[in-house]
Amino acid sequence: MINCKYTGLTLLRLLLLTAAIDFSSCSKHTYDQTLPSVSFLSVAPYGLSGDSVLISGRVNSPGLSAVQFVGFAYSTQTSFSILNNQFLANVNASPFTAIVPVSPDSTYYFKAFASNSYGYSCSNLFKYAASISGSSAPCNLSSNTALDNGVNYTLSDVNSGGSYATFGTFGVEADNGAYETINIFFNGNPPSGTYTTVANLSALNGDTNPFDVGIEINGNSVNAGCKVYVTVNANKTTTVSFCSGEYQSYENQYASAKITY
Amino acid sequence: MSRCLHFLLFLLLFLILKTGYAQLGLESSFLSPAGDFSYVKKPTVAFTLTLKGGSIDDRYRCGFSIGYCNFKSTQDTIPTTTIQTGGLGNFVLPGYFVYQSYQVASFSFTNDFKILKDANFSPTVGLDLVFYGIAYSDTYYTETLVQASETGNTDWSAGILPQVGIQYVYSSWFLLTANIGRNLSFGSAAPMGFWKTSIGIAYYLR
Repeated sequence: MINCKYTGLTLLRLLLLTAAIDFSSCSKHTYDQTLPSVSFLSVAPYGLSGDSVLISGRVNSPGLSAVQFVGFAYSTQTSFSILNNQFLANVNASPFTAIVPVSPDSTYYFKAFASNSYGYSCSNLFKYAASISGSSAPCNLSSNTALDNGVNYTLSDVNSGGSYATFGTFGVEADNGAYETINIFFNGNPPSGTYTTVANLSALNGDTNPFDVGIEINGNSVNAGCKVYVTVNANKTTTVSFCSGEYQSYENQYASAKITY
Repeated sequence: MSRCLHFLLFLLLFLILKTGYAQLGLESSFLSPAGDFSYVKKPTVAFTLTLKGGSIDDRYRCGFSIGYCNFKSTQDTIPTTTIQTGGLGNFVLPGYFVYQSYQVASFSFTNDFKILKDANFSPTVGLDLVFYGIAYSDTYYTETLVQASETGNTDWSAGILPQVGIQYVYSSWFLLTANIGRNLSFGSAAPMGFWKTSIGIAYYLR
């Protein structure tokens, strides 16, 4: 004869034990894991008229299937869909870029997006204030001068072109005819925009990010993260400027310069 | 489908009448979505009622079961895109998809085989052939194109569920079981892949 009470208790214990094992083994998948991850990289004035910008983005990971479309959307509002001023870009390019029209002296919010067969995802918003004039370094410098470790120099000899590109594909070299020499290395003849120095100058060779730049002060490379401002002027000259680029000589030193070529 | 169902019902009836025995079982399962299904559905609990032919000593037993579960979505909205082509070029239209509910009723022809003969405690192997009836409600939206909510949608899926487990003859009346299996499905609905871990109790009718 069966003791029903005992049987019931035993079964209940077994049920609870199995349920506990089941729930503890539960996986934590989310739908976001299926989607591409995308970043908005940069926005820079493009051309001479100030009515367009060059924007770039990068797909960090494709998600669970191949990326089908990449592009940008932007607005003067902070909340907008990817259909708002949508520009599709080359899905095979990394980073992917687009040239989009803007109105001077307006503030825009940009975002990049990428889609695959599961859906789409967007980057964070990037705020940009379009201006009529090109951007320049936020330090007070005269053209073709440098301030290196507290000493002012006049850069009387300025040259540019591919033959001055020890790194990258386009170089600018400025010196005072003596012992102060500044070299700036770009990937191509730079359009107006804001560039950022890389950690290692040799990384510029084959670098596909058009907004990477390298600087050498008397043969010493400036640390990563220094902003370099390029403005293509109306007279077809180009002005390159940067402030307080840190580099290592016998001690930590800082240099600023404004060069027009 | 109805011919197949009639055949299976006949087979079960035959087994019960032949042996004069049957067992009525209740099973509680934990369903853990796998593969693509795991990204849209959360794990859930299912309950199944089973009627099998055969006596408590039989090594092979088969029967029918019906079950129910309710899958909840892993997130509120699922982002979607639609490609629009036209004279102005291609545009990616953003949208979303929302499952309000996703309820599944299962109808299975279930088989299991006791590996150790005459042992009270034995490992088992089994194979279920399952038909899933799905009732769901959803909302979908594509910018500039469509926005709609639908309730009372139905869909179906079929699958096989191979299982391994253990059973314990608790008494001449009760049998305890624990199984784990993987559902492999196909059909009109999106594939429902999941791991099924279950425990059950069967009561022998004489």
